[in-house]
Amino acid sequence: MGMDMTKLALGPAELEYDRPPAGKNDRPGHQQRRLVPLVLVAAGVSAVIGSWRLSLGELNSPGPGLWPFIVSIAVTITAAILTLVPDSAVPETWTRRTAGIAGGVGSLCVFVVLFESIGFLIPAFLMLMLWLRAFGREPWRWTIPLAVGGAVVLHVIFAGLLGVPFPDDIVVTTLPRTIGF
Amino acid sequence: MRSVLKKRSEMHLKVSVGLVGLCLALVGCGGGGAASAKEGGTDYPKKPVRFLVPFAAGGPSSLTALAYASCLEGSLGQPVLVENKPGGSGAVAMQELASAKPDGHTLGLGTNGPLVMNPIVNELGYSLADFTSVGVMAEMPTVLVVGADSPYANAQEFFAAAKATPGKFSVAVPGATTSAAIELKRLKDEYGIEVTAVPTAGNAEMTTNLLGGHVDALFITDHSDVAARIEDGSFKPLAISSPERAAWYPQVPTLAEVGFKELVNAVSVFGVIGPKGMPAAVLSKLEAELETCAADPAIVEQIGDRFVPDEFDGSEELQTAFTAMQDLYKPILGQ
Amino acid sequence: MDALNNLGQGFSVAFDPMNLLFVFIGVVIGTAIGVLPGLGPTATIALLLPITYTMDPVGAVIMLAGIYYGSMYGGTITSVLLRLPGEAASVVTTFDGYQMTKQGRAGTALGISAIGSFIGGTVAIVGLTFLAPLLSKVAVAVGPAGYVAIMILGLFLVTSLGTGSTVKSLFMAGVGLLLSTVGQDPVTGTARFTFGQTSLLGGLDFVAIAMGLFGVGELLHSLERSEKGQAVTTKIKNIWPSRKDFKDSSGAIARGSVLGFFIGVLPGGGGVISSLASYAMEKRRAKDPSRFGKGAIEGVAGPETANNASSTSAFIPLLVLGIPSNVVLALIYGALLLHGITPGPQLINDHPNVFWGVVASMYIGNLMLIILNIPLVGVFIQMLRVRAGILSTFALLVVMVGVFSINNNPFDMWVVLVFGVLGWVMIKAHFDPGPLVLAFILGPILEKSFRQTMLISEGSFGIFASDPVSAAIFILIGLFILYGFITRSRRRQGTRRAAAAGPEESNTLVHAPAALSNSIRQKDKGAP
Repeated sequence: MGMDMTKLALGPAELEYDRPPAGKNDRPGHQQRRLVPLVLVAAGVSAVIGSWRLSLGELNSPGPGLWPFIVSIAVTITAAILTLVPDSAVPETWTRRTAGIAGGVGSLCVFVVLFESIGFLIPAFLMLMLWLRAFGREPWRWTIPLAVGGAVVLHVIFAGLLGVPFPDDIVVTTLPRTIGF
Repeated sequence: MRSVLKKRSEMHLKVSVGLVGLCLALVGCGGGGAASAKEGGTDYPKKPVRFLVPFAAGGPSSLTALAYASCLEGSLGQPVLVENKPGGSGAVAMQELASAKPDGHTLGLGTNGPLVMNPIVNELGYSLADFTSVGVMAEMPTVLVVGADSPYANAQEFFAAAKATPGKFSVAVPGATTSAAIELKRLKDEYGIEVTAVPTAGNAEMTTNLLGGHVDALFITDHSDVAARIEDGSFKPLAISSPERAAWYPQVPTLAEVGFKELVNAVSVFGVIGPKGMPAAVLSKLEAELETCAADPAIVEQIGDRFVPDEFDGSEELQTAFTAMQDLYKPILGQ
Repeated sequence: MDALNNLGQGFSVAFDPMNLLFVFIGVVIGTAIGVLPGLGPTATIALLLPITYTMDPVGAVIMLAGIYYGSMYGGTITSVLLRLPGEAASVVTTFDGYQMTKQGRAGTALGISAIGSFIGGTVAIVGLTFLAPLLSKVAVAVGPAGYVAIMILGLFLVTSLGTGSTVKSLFMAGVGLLLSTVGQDPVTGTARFTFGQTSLLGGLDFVAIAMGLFGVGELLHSLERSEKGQAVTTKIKNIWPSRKDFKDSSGAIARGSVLGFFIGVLPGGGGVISSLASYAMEKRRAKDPSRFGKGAIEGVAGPETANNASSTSAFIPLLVLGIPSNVVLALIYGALLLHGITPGPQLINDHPNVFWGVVASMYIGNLMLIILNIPLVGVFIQMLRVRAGILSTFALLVVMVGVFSINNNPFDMWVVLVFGVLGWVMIKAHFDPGPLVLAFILGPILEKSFRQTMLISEGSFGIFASDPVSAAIFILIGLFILYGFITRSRRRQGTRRAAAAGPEESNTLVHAPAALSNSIRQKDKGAP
């Protein structure tokens, strides 16, 4: 009996690895269910303090902080209710694939940084290569032409046809010089 | 045009398909302007010029900017793209302009509120000193109007009633940090007449509010829409803010005539400005082209001949006007 | 019958070959930009404004108007297929439209939206033809106090249409309102919650937030769940709405047309409020409201119809009073002013060919749009046959570039990323982003109007009762709440009776832990 109980307590942690990937990742996670609203309450309280600092004014001449103050109090109250009365929906847990998502988001951050410094073409090409290959599992013979073509076509549509002012593009500015245009 | 297209199709034929070929095609269609990158005033403008307007589209400011942009486009030989950036009483556009490269490819519409007053009221990342004045596009006075069914037939009656009931009259103004709003504040501070200034987003909203009877009067920037309403009788003009009577409303007295000698500053100046440190060659070229445009009958007709000053005010005059405004408003606003 | 005569005259203007061409160009451009995320009618019309100066004024306005209502058709497509709402009014469409795509009914959703949009648009044009002068009076009757009431009605609808609990919806709406205060104070210009960031002075951009929370969040979530980054299931059932679909949605389309037409006349926020109101109405009327948010066809048909009807009737205050009620119409107003035509009460008399020509062109434009869009549905459906990994990768890149193009500022790319991650976490924690995004749109108008009202009334709340529009709307809200109480208590009695019949969804969720521990026990038994 005692053994059974320890097994039960360990249960959810094991389950995470046994579950088939496509299945629902739902589980009780009481800690998490309380934790999320608590973080939200803290955020609400800091917003209340922030708007207080902006000066509230009076009702007939409201200051810049009055409206955010009212709203952030409402946010804090509702977050507090969520803490006390967690609703029936059960949050999904983090899985091993979550790390992959972090990697994907990280790659997009790199994309934005590169985009600001060397323009659209190369970062777009790299981003497409990575995503098509790593997340889309496309074979190389599809990945490379799609990445090159995609980057060029989008550049032509946005920079050429729509006149969106992309940051100066390293390919567009240096290529003519290197081949003696 | 035709030869460029031909050249591109030839390129496609010669270069084998692959990364290099695709990039070449791209250079052919989009990279032409960036190829010769030599600094200097003479080859200005090298690329399209952005013209930032610190207000929403459709108002007097963007119409003025559009009219001048279409004229400058012709003389500069590059597109002049008007971008409306209405955020935060215009501070977003000004901030962006102040931090843009001072090469003349980013210009903006400078006017009383966003350029002079906002930086006095708030701690913003820019001030008047961060800009170069190029020249005046238009000047617009502010008119005090009431609705057709208002009980006040003239300015004297209106102000007498306002004095008798402090704070009861609501007067819509184009924004809290506009010279119109400040003049109403000075009306209270210097003349003891207190009205409630209601900041709005611009002429369209103000018009709705007066037609619907939600406010008692408007202190509205004069423009063709206001003129049309005065003409058809839905607005009754009581007074005008300019130092002298306007030729187009000869029957409307100035605020100074009505008894408020000091209240002559609610005149919107729409000037062309650029970031601080624009090369002299670029500045003088722009100033000259602007002067030509200001004399162009088509432009004058589009904006309304009453708003384009008969004598062109250039870089120096505009700078002086803005500095004078700053000196006047700093003690009032900087409390 | 005067209107009919004038309309006939308008058609003779609109059938001019050049004007026909301008309508066509307008609706094609409109559809195209509606599909590209981030690029809305505002940016496009602003871009084209200088060109229109060389055109005939009637042709110019006909084309610009075509772009405007054409973009309302196009905006639906990405909301339904990829959960990417490109504009505020299509946020509501994502609720059930994307669910329908997941069930392989994307074609049905797009088909019914196109048909609904056509009907809504046409009903509104008929209304515009005959009721314009009458309704224009309504537009000016709405002052700051009226706006406060309308925005509160909007917020009330927002919180009542979420799929989760009311407290959660309220919380999300509150967060949306709070996020909308980032940037400069609309009245005094003071910086709020900008943390010294210049780019935040202008506030967060709606499109970046909506794309992040809906589109990017969904993408990351499906990526986490499946081996391949799967945007949508590739199975496509039938492309066209069936006879049953038409029967189910005909009421929603009829109600949406009327609702959208009347709400669209109110200046400001018409599109969002009308789609919200239609969704809320359909959900309340439904026999089984729990179907909503899970692919109910009325939830797509109603709001899409209302949205198009309101974008057409929004021309009434512009053409009759000279008051542009949103940014796009302000641009069209500007185009007219550039031609020396001041829109206002005199427009119908002074320039009848402009007024009636534009009205007549709208009939033609709507017809063109439905002819154009029906085959396009088939084309866009093919997009779903593209391998999911490729589709979602390209969708992601287009979103990134699209949000950049809104303000030409890389800052918005960061915003879309941050909100993408937030959207993903919210899906995992079962928080619905809908109320947040919609409250984000309504917030600034509510705050500005509230502060204006308080200035006008010197801090007295009595104005909300004395202002006829706000009084009427607050009574309406009161009736809604009362009606909600009555139906809820009735339903509760009903469920008590039917408790034995079948467990509701919430019950299954509560039971889930028990089921899990059962499976663990069984596993224990199997272990040596």
